[in-house]
Amino acid sequence: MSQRSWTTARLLFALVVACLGLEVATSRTAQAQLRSPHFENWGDLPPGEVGRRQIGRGGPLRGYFQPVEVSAPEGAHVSLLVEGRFHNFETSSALVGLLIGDVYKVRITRIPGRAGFEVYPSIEIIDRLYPPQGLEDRFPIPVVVTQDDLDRAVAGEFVVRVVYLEDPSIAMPIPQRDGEQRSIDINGSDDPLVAADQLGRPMAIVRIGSRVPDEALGGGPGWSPPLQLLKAPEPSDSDQ
Amino acid sequence: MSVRFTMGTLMLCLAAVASGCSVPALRSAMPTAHNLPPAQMLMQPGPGVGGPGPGVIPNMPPMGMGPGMGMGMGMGMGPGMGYDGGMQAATAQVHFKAPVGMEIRWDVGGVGQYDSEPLVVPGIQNFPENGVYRLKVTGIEGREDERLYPTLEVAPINARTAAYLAHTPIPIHFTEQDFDQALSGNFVTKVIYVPDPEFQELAIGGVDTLVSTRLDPGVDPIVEADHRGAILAVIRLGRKDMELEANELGVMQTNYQQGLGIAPGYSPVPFNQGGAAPGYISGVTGPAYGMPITGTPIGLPGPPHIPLGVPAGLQQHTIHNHTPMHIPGPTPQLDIHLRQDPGLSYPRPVDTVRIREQTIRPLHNNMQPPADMVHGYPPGAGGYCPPGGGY
Repeated sequence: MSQRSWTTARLLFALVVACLGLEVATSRTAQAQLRSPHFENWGDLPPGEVGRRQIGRGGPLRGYFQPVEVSAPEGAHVSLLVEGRFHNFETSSALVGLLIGDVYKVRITRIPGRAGFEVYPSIEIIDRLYPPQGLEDRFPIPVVVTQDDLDRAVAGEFVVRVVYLEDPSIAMPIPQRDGEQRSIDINGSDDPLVAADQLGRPMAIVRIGSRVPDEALGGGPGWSPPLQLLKAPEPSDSDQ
Repeated sequence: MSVRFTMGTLMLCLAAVASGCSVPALRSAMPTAHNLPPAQMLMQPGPGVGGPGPGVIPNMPPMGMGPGMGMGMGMGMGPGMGYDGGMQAATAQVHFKAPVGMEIRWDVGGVGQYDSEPLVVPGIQNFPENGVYRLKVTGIEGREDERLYPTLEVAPINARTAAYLAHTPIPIHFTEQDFDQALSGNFVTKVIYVPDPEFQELAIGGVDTLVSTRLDPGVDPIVEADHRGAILAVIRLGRKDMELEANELGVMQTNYQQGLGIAPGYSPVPFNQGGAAPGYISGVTGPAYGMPITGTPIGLPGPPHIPLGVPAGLQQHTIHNHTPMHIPGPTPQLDIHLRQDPGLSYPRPVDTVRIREQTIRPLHNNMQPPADMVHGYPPGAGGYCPPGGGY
């Protein structure tokens, strides 16, 4: 056997090994890009599931009323389900304390340009902030429901907003106006919770659709988790 | 020669790796394609035995819990009750969107009554999950004389569809093409489903609809929708009139009867209970005269010789079953090898921690305030500071 033949055989053998290694590497990379095995929460989980898993991980989450400021477009009215009845705050925003892991129903009426339509989003708090003691009300989680969200919901679409706390190292150095909440639109094939986790710490999941809850259809009072009214006008009687 | 063989083997391996092919024949000696019996045969628990199959319990609501009163999921995940405590019925809200002005009714007091208040499209209505509901559709624009009876099957709510159904109604559209297909005698199946992420691009509003009339022949829309995502509801539309006034007893069956061959309207109970053989009465206690009970490959209404009065031409009819069959016996031992893909992977626990503390040095040197400086010599003789060198 000549030296040249041996060299050719060794070269081919090395090529085969390299192809095998490349195939294994590419398949694992593709799987890793599809879904991270370390991330077990997804945006399409049932309402309340992500919050329950967060509480199950431990930490000072259980029983903490996280201040949340719910805002709707100017002129709209925000109502929250309190003790089985929708209480209208007759303003476009309300500051309330919500428990982590529970899902709260919100009703938005008097939508600008959508007379006669009502939208019932839900808010699920999945994490908390750690502000200085005594200043919790000054640093609420802003939940802004935009006019575009409401228009999409009325048109029959299902909108999921994930509010996250920006990672200061990758935060966008752009000033934000009052009442504005910048949002990033993602593709339908991407998961909003995963995208938010890559940009910071997810705090709340807001789901917006056009389903009318049974409480509003006369199905009787439903169960509603407790909440704290932090700064809002005196709620009027339920107008359901 | 050895070098050629080695090179040939390596080239073969290289071609297999490059093409990514696999050789099924090398995995097992068994044929790779298996054919199941027809679905009608699979529905039966065994030859000659009817019914839904062993161990199959019909889907019936529990006693005392009618539709709309069912218990919710324990964790309170389902829509309708979803995040409100889990004591409310799991319902899916259906939004009938088109055509506008059409009226829809459904059963309230009993099956076939269609006694609900008419729902004028567009409108919404809650239906308990995991149920099939017969609808009555009237008042179709341009087809005022037609009435259709589609069925609405609301799929059971699962973790994939719970969030969507808790916030958004299921959109139902009846198109002109659907009505044309149904009124021309075709069977239309519409499947509304939530696509998986890889099929989400073409979906509008988070859901997509598959219609049987728009798919290739032979493609089951339910199977296809289940492959693409999670099914929310299924609409089946045909032309069958469910309120047709007809006397079934007035319909006379022609030709022969299967089974006991009893003429219509007669009781199948024998005249004498277990006694001697009953007298043969053609068309009463037995098949009608000349009617066959077994088909022949040439379609003769045998027995051929009796009515014709000639010797039988066909004297033997043998059927040979040449169907290739491979029905193995029960497996004595079952090994299950489970592989979850992607596998479980957790970060390695921390075994080394390197901490580097960095203190920010101020731009200016911190010095002792002049007022606190001590000037002069330290007490005692033999001071360590030279004269005149005090701070």
